[in-house]
Amino acid sequence: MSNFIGDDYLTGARESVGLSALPNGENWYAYMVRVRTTTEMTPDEIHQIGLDEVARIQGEMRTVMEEVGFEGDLKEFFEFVNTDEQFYFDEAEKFIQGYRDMSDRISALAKNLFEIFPTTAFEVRRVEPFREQSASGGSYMAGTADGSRPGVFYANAYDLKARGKWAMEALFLHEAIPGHHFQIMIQRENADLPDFRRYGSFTAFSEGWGLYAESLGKELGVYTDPYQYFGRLNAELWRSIRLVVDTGIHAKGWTRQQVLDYMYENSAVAEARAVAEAERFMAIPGQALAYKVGQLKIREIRDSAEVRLGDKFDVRKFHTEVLRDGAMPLSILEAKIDRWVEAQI
Amino acid sequence: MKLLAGATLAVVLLLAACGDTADRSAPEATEVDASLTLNVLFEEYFERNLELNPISATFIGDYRYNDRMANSNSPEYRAAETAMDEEFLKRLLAIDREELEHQDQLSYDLFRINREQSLEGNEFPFHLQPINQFYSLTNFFVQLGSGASVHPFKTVKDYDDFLSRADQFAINIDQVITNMRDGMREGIVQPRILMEKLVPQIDSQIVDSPNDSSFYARLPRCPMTSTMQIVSVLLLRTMTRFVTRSFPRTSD
Repeated sequence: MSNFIGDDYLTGARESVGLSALPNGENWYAYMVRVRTTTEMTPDEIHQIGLDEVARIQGEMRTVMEEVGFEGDLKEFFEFVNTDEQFYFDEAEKFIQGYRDMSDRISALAKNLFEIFPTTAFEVRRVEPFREQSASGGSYMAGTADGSRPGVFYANAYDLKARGKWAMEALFLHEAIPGHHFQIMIQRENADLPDFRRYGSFTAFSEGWGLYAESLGKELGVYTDPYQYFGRLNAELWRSIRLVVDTGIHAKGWTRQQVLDYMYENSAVAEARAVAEAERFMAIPGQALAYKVGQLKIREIRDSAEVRLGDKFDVRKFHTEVLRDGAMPLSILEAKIDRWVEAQI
Repeated sequence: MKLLAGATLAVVLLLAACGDTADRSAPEATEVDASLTLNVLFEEYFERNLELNPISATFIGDYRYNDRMANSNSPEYRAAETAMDEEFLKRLLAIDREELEHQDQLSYDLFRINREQSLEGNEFPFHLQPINQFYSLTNFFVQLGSGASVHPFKTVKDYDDFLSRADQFAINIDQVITNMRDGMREGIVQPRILMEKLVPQIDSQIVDSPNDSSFYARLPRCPMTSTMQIVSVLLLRTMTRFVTRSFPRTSD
């Protein structure tokens, strides 16, 4: 196959990078956007939300810079957090242990915001060295509802100089607790659901929940270190950049270089990661939109429930209500929570 | 799961058999009836989907089909998937949603969206772009065989199952190449920059000796009891056959 691609396919491959360059490509991308976001938002609307969010989050980052007393502009601050030794582990074992300690601490804190928990065991593991070069920084592998396989948070210890300590809390909240481990295992353990729902998935729901889980940090009692809060903002900034560039590539005819330039201008990203991400967006159109679109909707649903219920709003019950029925399109989730709120008024 | 489906089916048949004497106007009866029909439909779909997608079964810890792997870019697979979507959508729509209680209505809506989105997707030639640097069947299969993913490697049968999957993986690769050739003829091709990144990913799996293969990666973790020695011989056999069949140096 390698020979086929190298000798034949590359001679016929295209120079364009967006889906809209293909026949029926505009409709194809619109379909991907609908499937991945479960909304009727247009690429233009999503693009604009991305631009606005990038500006807002950069503003919040400047507040953190003041808080830690940093002298200089945002680019210099990015440079500082990406290079200063205080932010990096020198041994993989310490890095992994850092996540294990965090796991104990955050599991205990989760009781403040949750009343239902997965019973499936949970573990932190280091990504096996043979695949660490191509693996992502952190990922979650679901356990089995019968308990035969635990849920696993995989932390990648390859190139520790690319794994700032400040990124750890937000990554753990997203991938593990109360992010994907809670969301996926609560769903799979719910024997009242038909199997297609127990094992079903909607990207906007799962990734929206992951990013929403990152936003719970202060409320949970983590992000007490301003650099960890910066890490959260940095992760959120990146998800907002994705809205701009995914729609840029597939609906607005952006070139690969335009994408890279936008990333460098607006974030702390290193070249290797920027290239890998840009090419990932080209490969799986629309997927990158799910995170921010999903999180914004879940947050909007929560805000509305809080306003309507006032003192009667119990965040733990709200989280139960969002998670126990499993993944679903955002509009259906909204209607379901609406019904739950109505029943309490 | 099969038992559960059987049990529910039995209740449905029982209800149907009682139909002659039961008061058909009682709203509870219709509601229960619709709900049972709906949930039997879901169970049947779930079962058939696991058979169609055996690796999905492995992912959820159901090891009945561990020796199989779907050729999901083939015309036969795509036709079977579409036929299943159409059949189950039709059967769903024959159920009166208004007769269902809230949770069932939720299930009804979610199932309907899944089937409709899947059918809608047939308008677009995903199968002509079956692989790139990000969704790579080869990378996926290497990880599956390394033991770091969901295929278990505990018993001799697990190894034999993987061998069988490796044979089907080779068929998958032939299909991927056929589809990419079709794509070239129809002008549905991938960006060059992405495919350039795929070549070294595949090349890194082409090795002179099985010992150099990623499939060897799990071996050092195994304590070498006598059972494990047998297993490692099996693994070696698996890898040699797999590596030589799936990543040939000169053909394709």
